[in-house]
Parts: sequence; C-alpha cells; structure tokens
Amino acid sequence: MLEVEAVDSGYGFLQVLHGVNLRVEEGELVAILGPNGAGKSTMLKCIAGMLRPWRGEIRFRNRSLAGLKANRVSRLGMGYVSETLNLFTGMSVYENLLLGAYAITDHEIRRQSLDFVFDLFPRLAERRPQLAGTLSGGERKMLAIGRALMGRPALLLVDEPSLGLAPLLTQSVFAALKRLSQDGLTILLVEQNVPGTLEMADRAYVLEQGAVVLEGPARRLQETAHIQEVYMGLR
Amino acid sequence: MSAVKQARRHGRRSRLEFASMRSPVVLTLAVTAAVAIVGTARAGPFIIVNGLVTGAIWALVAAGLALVFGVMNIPNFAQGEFFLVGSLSGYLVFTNVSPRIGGGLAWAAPIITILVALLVGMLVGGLLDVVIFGQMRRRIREQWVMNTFVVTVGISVVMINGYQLIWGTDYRGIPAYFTAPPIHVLGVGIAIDRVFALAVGAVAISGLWALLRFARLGRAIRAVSQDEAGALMSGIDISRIQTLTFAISSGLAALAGATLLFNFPAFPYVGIKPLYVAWTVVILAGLGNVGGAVVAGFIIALFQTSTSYFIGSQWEDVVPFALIVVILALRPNGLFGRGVRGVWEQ
Repeated sequence: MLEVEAVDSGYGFLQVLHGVNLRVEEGELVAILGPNGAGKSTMLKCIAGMLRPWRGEIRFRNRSLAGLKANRVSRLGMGYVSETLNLFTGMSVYENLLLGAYAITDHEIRRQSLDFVFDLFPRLAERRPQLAGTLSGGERKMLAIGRALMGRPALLLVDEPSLGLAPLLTQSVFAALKRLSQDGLTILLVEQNVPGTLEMADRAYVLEQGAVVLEGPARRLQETAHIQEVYMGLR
Repeated sequence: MSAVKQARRHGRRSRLEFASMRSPVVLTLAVTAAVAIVGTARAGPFIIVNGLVTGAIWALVAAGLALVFGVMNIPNFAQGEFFLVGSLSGYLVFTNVSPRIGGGLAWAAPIITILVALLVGMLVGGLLDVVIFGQMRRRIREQWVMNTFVVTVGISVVMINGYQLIWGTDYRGIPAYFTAPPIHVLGVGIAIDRVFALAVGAVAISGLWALLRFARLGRAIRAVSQDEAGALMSGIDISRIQTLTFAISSGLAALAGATLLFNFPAFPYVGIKPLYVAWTVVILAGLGNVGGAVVAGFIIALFQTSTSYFIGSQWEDVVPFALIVVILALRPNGLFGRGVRGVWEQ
C-alpha cells in the first residue's frame, strides 16, 4: 500500500533522513521506533505531504506522491495525526470532526463516520459541543484521531499517540488503535514507547540518526539484543 | 510550554483582565450607550439613525479587513481601493441601467447596481490574490506580515493612479438612488437611500455571519484561520480558500462603495476615508475578529455622527481616533481581541 524508497529529507540545510526505505502492506500495523531526533516525525511528514523529500520516491496505492501537496495526499486516502495534533481549537468537537470529512460530500457516509468515531471514543460524543481548545490532553488526542478517521482513510499515520499522556490514557488510545487495526485499517505508527508498541504492531522499523538500523516482525525485534539493551533496559 | 509556565501565564492574565482589560470594554460600551442616549435626548433619533446607517457600512468594510487579516495575515491597506472599485462600477452600472428601466421596475436598478459592484469587487480581489498574494504564498515565509503590508500599500498606489489615468479626477456620483420622498420615523425624515444602505449592510453582515457559521466554505475559512496545517491534513486547499477569502473581503468593500455612491462619489481618493475608518474599527475591535469589527463599526459611526452634530463635521474623525489611542494604551489587543498570532507562527 505504501512504499518509501531511498528518501532523503530535512529542513533548510539540515538533512534529517538518509536514504530511508520502508513498506506498509494492506491491513498491517507498522511501527517506526527510535530515539528523539532520529527523524521519525520527519518521515511521517514526508509521507503525509507536509514536507517535500529531497530525493527518493514515495508511492501510495501504486501512485507516486511526488509534488502533491498535503491536501491532495489527504484526499487520496491518507489520514495524518501529527505530533502537535493541529486541532481547530476555536471550534467545537463536532465542527472539528466535520472538517475531517471536508472532502466527503455524501451526507450519509459522513453520518456513518461520525457514528463510528463516537462509538470508538464515547468521550467525544459527550464533549460534542465543547471547544476543542478546552479539552484535556487525552481527549485532544482522541479528537485528532477521530478527525483523521472522518476522512475515511485507507492508511492512518499516527505520530506519537502516547506523547504527554498518562499511562492509563496511553493504554486506552493504544486500545483504540488496536481495534481499528483489527477492523482492517492499515496503520503506520511512530512511537517512543517501545515495549507497548512492539506488543501490538505487526512489523517495526527502528530509525536511528535518520537511517533504518533494524526492521522486521515485531515479535522478532522484541528478541533482538539491540532492542532489549537500548530501548527496554534489559540485559 | 511547561504546565507551570502556562498556569502562571493564566494567573497573570486573569488578574490583568479584571484590573485593566475588561474595564475598557465595559467603559467603552457604557460611554457609547451614554452618547447614544444623550445624543438622542438632545438632537432626536437622527443621531441613532445616522449612526446605524454609517455603522452598517463601516462594519462591511471593516469585516472584510478583519477577515483577510484573520485568515491570511495580510494587513490590507488597499481595502479603500476596493471601495473605489465599488463606487466606480456602481456609477457606471447605475447611470447606464437606470434610464433604461423605468416605471414599476425603477426600484430594481439600485439592486442590480450593488450586486454587479459586489461581483466586480470579488472578481478584482480574487484575481489580485491569484496574481500577487498566491505567488507570495509560494515564495515567502519570513516577514510575511511586513511584506504583504508593503505590497498592499503598493497596490493601493497603483490602483489610485491607474484610476486617475483612465477616468481622471472628476467626481462621478449620483444625487440619489431613489427618487421617492424620505420616510418619517419618530418625526425624523430619513432618505430612502439611507434606509437602503442600512438594509444592504444588515443583509450583507447576516449573510457573512451565516456563511462563516454554517456553510462548509465558511467552516473551511475558519479552519484555515485557526490552523493551516490542520486544514491541509483535512484535505482543504488552503490557497483556494485564501483566494476566496480575499475575494469576499474585496466584494464587501465594493458593495459598501456602491451602496454609499449617493454620499461618496467615485474619484481617485474616495477610498482613503473608508480605509482609515475601517482600520480604526478593526484596531478597536481587535485584529482578525470579524464579529467584533461589526460591533466596533457601529460604535465608531455613532461617535462620528454625534461629534459632527454637536461639535462640527471637521471634528468627525478626531474623537474616534482619540478613542483608539486610549483603547490601545489600555488594551493593545483591542476590545474583543485575543493575542494576535502570525499564520507562520502557528
């Protein structure tokens, strides 16, 4: 579904990604792991079209994304939940969700997605008329994921769902992602919470200093000495 | 930002709000009400009626300014020239259409006139955005506000002189849109043209409000003004939304220009006064606040009409401007404004 081939990218003169390759097949839950500053978020920004790759190619559903702006990429079926969430803080929860379905003009489909999101995150249904800026951190995260889902994505990119959340809330956000994955949604996840992510992901890539240093099925990575030593504090 | 820092900031803010931030709002509204009441008592409903008519039109021009600043972060100093575009197209349309339709349909001519002016304004504004600001959006990221400010001043100069080159410096005006005698409200005669202007202002402002509040396009406009990256992620073509926003804003100014043609004939510098007044209104309201601009439009207009009645029309602009100085000294973000944030800083 998604192929990233030898992508270099960065900001200004600062190169962050060095020839990154990765692949996501339909229905998979794939994680990108790595320390701070490894280029995980930069990779997601490139895929979502928020940042232009300097070199290399990104293909989504057999279509090159070269030169497409983020709004076009989004309309191709890519949902993106950024690190900063980018909610419309001066609008209600309901309006935020409606804007997520901006590209969908069919009322019936929009209503179905809304029901789906409210079923997935009942908290959002309770907070429906409330301004997004007044939500708690966990609720904001739910709203950002819900807004991305409203566009009926084929692939969902999620940047650090656990960032800034209490362990209990992290668990509930992870549970929601797991449920989406079980329902057949393809998900590409960036995370620093390595043990929890490897528990639920199918495959994972480990990014260090802008390059992939390890990749493989999550089960196998859990056994790897490098992972256990650096990310789990074992050994 | 750390939680502690945030809490501290909120704490300071709420204390300030009570001491020196909320009181100017109350004070201004109280003074405005007092002026309205005293003015009415001494000079009759004339003050209120005139204040409402002028206010409705200032609100239109200022709402356009606020919209463009809120969505595109452009301080538009060419807004007055869109007023001019409206006066000119109003003049050309009305003087051509009015003699041709007479009798029972004569009332339709002013309506056709202002609708054409609205469309021409939107077209010129949209075109200008595509040709100039659209290009700037693709190339400039730093110093956006300053750059666009200078560019709008340039556009204003070019439009004023272009107008002068083609149409000269003659006044092109009409004595009135409607020939019917004034109607009497509470013993005051009000020209039909003024009633018309008030109605146009009311309809246009309600239309703008409904668009922003309920329509899909309006929601997208607000989305772009609140978070551009979020709008992109939701599949909104922000450049297109910004072009439409600029077109709407220019259209509103042109609508105002055409509606006030009986009072402001088209000539090269007709846009200067509406521009200054609209900026005063927007600063009073708080930059980028469309709803506040409407309220502030009425406040400024009331001050202008009462000043010109009680003191003299040459003092008309002094009192509102003095008010601005006081407001800005006490509350730099304007009456209804929150902190102003640049589009690129978000």
